[in-house]
Amino acid sequence: MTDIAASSEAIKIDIWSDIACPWCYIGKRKLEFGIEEYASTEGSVPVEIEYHSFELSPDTPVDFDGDEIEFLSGHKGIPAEQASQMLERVTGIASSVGLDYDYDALKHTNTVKAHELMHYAKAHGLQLEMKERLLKAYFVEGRHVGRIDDLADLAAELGLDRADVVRSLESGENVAAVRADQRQAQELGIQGVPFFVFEGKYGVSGAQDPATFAQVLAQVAGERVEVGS
Amino acid sequence: MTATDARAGVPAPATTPVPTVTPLLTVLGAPGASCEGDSCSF
Repeated sequence: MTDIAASSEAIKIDIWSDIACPWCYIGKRKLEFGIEEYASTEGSVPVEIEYHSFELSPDTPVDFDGDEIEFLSGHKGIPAEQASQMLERVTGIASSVGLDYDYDALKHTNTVKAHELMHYAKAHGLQLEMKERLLKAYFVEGRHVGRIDDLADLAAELGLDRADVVRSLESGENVAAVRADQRQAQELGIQGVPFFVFEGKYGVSGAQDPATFAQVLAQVAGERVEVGS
Repeated sequence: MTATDARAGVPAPATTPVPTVTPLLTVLGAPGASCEGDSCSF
């Protein structure tokens, strides 16, 4: 491989993330802004993104009868008023990156099937589109992302074969892939999400500002040039 | 090291290399807002 090829090869970002994770959607947007910022610099190289499964709360039931405030107060013991203030704050931050979170409509659910669908979509070349669709469905549209039929509807919107998605989710054929992602997260010491791994060696935790992501990309690209020179 | 070595005060040969700990990841910067378990930093 020539030095030029080595330096122009896409920078890989592996992202561990959940669907029911307000900072994961905000972090996704901030990363995208950061990539745009980095891409506008001279000599920038393409970026390749791959999402990995991370279940924050695997014991959450598929159907939770109540809203997010009731979940936080009932599950976490946070007083309802405080929970309301917390959601108001995160909604404001989401809005600052162009995301219109609707916690009144949000349907709290278990996300393992959504993660299985992410792996299905990856196998069909639509992982990034599926991630965006699932996050938007959950945080903005108040759609259910825990039931197979609802997930199949979302997948079909992207052009995936609805019947085959139902078959896949009912069979659980991607559960092993979800678990493998979670094992890898554990091996890497990832405890919270979103978590971004650049080129398999640098970790960036949480929904950082776009400038931070741009800076890390520039650093990774710069190190390639140093190694190649 | 054998008991005989210890009694004689003979230093044990360094047969076991000191393991090199290589972190899997270098974490850059301070953590940003994130969720851990069913708890998020709000």
